[in-house]
Amino acid sequence: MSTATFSPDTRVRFGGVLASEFTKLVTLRSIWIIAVAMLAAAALVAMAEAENSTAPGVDPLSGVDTMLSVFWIVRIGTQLFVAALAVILVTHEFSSGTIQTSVISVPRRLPVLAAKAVVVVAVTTLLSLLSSLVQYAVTVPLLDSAGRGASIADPAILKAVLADALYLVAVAVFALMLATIVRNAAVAITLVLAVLYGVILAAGVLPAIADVPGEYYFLSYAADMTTSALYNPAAAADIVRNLVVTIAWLVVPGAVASVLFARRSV
Amino acid sequence: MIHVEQLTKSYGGKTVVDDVTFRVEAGSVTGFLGPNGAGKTTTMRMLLGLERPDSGRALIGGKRYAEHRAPIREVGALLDARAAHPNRSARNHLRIIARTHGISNKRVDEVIGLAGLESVANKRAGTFSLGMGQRLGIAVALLGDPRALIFDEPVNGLDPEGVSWIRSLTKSLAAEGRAVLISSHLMAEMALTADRVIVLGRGAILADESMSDVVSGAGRVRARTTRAVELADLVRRAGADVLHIDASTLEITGLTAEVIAETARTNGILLIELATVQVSLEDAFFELTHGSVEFRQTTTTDEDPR
Repeated sequence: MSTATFSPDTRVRFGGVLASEFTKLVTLRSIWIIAVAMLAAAALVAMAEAENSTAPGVDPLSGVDTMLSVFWIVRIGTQLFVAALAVILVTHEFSSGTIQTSVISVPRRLPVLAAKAVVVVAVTTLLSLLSSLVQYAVTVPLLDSAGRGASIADPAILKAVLADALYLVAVAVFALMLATIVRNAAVAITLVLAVLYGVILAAGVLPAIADVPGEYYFLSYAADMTTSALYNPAAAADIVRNLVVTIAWLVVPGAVASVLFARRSV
Repeated sequence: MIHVEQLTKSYGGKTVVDDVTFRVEAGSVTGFLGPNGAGKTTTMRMLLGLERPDSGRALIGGKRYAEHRAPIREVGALLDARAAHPNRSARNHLRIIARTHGISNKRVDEVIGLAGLESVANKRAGTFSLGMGQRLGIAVALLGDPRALIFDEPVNGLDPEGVSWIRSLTKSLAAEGRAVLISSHLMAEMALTADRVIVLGRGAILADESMSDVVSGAGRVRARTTRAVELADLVRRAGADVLHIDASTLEITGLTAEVIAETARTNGILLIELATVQVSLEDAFFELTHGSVEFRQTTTTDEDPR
């Protein structure tokens, strides 16, 4: 039946599980569509924001400040793409039934979830960096024409690029864990939307908790402030609280997802 | 090789697998039979760690499936032929599984060949017929060249050539010393394939015996003689059950043909015919599972409602 030879040390290794998850990701057409759509959206939003900020009659910001503003707007606009990517990486397994083959191959299960998390972090980081480059590439000509140049080597810009990547990674990991809990793409994306954009609706409506406005406990606010503190000293005022809230949004769903993923029937 | 011990599983107060114990030995094909809802698939899923048993244990090579360092080298499983992403090619589906164990692309190509999928290996699994899906599932099961195989309804959707292929494949896998557990509703096919049969009904084991014992009519012997009434009395006294088929023919249960022949000879009764009754696996199955069928159709008649 077999002519193949197997190494006597053939066994499940985390590196192998990671390679398997990476192959899953690159062989999903929807992932490529989301990635291209995200970069296109980043380019369009960046151009629109740069046009607005260089329009006659608008208070002129420096080139660097304009670039930081562009990065922030695009980050808020494109976070949904990385969330959708993370959600699909998990829920496609449940909708297609491949989760069964995944856990038969790796019956201890948790390495599968850990590998998915590593893949999501890596791909989100890469997409975020590509998105930053795209934004820079479409914004700089407009800034140059307005006589307000901005170098990509500027420390503030580099920190903003890093901040964007960290923020989007936090969103993607949260979405991955939430999708693992609910196992349904539509439900997961709806809940992620509620968490990410609910802060806008909640502003001034939620009661304060420990003298802190309720909306400050949303992931999007806390993670935004935490990562923005890298280049914006004003955002660093409540860094400890924002960092703790951000970590809680990742650790609690992560723990619940891990327990359910390891124990549930599939 | 496969050892299931007092396995029990309930859902919402309903016991679907009830204290099931059996062994599947290396070098044999064991048929796993039972009506719909008998608990076959749930038992197989518990073997592979997809479900947690309420009690009991399922061991493969002396360990729980999850405890093996290279699980797919121990057991190859086909549970659901549709468990492949519709937009992925068969080759990529196999590569994804192979990667987890560091299995080479060469082995992936080899099992594609074994399953007869060379011409469609790069096509999307969503375009596959049920039969091609089954072949892909078989390729997945063979990927790790495992010591045991678990196939749930592997011939569903296969054409006659495919059915014949599964039959020869399972027999050759067993001949190589592997343990094969295979469930199917196709009794004639199982009769040709399995060496041993485990029959489940309402979650409990109804029979666990060799195929030859199952089809030997549960020890029934047919005797034809001109002195049927006398022979019936004699074998009854020896502890047998007797059924009068007609004036000269008896069906005797509880004594071997040799003992019946000796009884007739000693008493000077001429036997015109003496034969062990052979039944089909299907007849034996219906006899065993009568009363254990979960879902049974009702007969309706086209009565004029007026």
